[in-house]
Amino acid sequence: MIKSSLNRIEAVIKILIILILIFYSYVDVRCNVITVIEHNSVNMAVQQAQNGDTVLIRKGTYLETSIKIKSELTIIGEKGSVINAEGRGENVIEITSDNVTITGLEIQNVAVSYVSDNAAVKLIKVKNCKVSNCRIYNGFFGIYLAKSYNCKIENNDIISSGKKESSNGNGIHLWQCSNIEVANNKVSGHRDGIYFEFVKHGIIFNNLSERNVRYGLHFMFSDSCKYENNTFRHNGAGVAVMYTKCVEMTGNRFLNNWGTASYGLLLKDIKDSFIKNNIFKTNTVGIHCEGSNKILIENNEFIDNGWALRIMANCSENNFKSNNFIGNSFDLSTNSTRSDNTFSGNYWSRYKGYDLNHDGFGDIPFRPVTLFSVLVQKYEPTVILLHSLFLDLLNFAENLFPSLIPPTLVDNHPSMEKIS
Amino acid sequence: MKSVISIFSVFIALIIISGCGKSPVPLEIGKDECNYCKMTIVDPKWGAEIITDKGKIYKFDVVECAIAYAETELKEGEKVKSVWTVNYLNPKEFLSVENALYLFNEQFHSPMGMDAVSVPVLKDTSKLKLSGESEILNWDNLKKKTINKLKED
Repeated sequence: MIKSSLNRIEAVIKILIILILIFYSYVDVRCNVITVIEHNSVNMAVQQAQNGDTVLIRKGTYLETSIKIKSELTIIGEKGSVINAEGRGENVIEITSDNVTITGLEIQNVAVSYVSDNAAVKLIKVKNCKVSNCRIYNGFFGIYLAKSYNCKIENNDIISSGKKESSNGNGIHLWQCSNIEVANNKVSGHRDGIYFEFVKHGIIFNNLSERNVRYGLHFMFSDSCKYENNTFRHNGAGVAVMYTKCVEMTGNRFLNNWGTASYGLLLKDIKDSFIKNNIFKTNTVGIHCEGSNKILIENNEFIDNGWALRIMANCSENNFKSNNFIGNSFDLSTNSTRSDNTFSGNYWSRYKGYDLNHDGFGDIPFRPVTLFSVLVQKYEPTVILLHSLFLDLLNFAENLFPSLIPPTLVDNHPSMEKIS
Repeated sequence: MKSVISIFSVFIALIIISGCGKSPVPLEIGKDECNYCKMTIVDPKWGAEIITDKGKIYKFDVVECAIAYAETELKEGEKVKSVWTVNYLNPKEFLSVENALYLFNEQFHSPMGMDAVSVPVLKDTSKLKLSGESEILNWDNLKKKTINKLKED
């Protein structure tokens, strides 16, 4: 009896030892680190490396391009390691294997191409990859993901000198991807800072996107995505969210998007989404809304914009609740005389009503559309009359006897105090 | 004096001719906005224009938008006189839409996600470096396809 149990214990110990040996030999393989020093080839190191290896790139400049990563590698760039493509080749780094991590590298001067979308780092049909702490300078496209999922793009600095629109790609470009996290990146000088096309469940947070030729962030056909706490400033036109449903937009800052065709946020054919706790400051138009339905716009700040809101006739069932409208030239303009969008409990700095019952809401309704904004919508040159006494009189008269402004566009409970 | 008058009349004639709007005007990349989808036009490889019977020009970032605009947003009394699309192979040139073919392939990432380019009738497609499946449509079929897609949405 005792003997057999001893035998058993012995067998278990033997198996354990074998397992430990296997484990250690496995770890040993995994721990291979290939170090690349200046004047050596990154490409060669990457081709030699096996699944699970780490390629460590030492400080120095590497004049290389078209590096193809086909195995599961971790690539670490030491501080001061630069891959300069000198405008040659195609993608500088092309990843076609799952579980690849790239971190700490600097990549410069991607080839500008007319037919192919060359990128500093391109990921094609992969999962569980990560690109972090990289600096990309003059990437035609910066980081490009196609048909990939479960990837992270974090803490990268993507800068383009962006002289010509046509020789300029997008900073972070996603096409047909899902479950992607884009966080803490800085993107500037591209065509679109961050571009999502046919993306599901993407999360974009804490990014700064500025001085891009077109949009800071651009959504096309990308359902169920959200973006939070990003800053978009000095872009051609802020952010465009188009042909998409179920988008969450919270805590973002849309600043200084000036120009004739410029918006803080452009909504085109959007459904079932919400816009909460954002700041729209000094934009030509805060939100331009077209063909969009069932959007909740709550607790946002609209400060010093040309137009805070521009809502086109084909928008319905949108709910504007508890927003602050402060110092905008126009709070709202529309091209329609009817509207089934609702406004309630907003604070309007132009509101001149009173609150006799002290419930915090004005006793007379506020009409955010002025006669002048109707006029400007129809005959643009009349904008020259802005801030004239004549207009104040006109607006006042229209307020007393509304005839031209949409009668349904009214906030029945305008807040007396700024909403915090 | 005579020469002054003749120069002047030439100028007047030029102004009148240039104001007629019979042919498309170049798109201003990075400045012009698509009349349908409101996107700023940034990619010179795609683009389209509608010229109305009164000579007004509407600009678009891609020919699908022109079709959708003509279908849904044309103002009352306006008629489309001609439609033009940018030649993918020579972006400075406009093709009359009837004289172009529309090549669909996933490798072309066109602005509105239909992945199609406008090309003149080609003998040699090797220039396009096509891989994977392609579909070629003429103007009438492209119109049908776009309008069907519009109705689906």
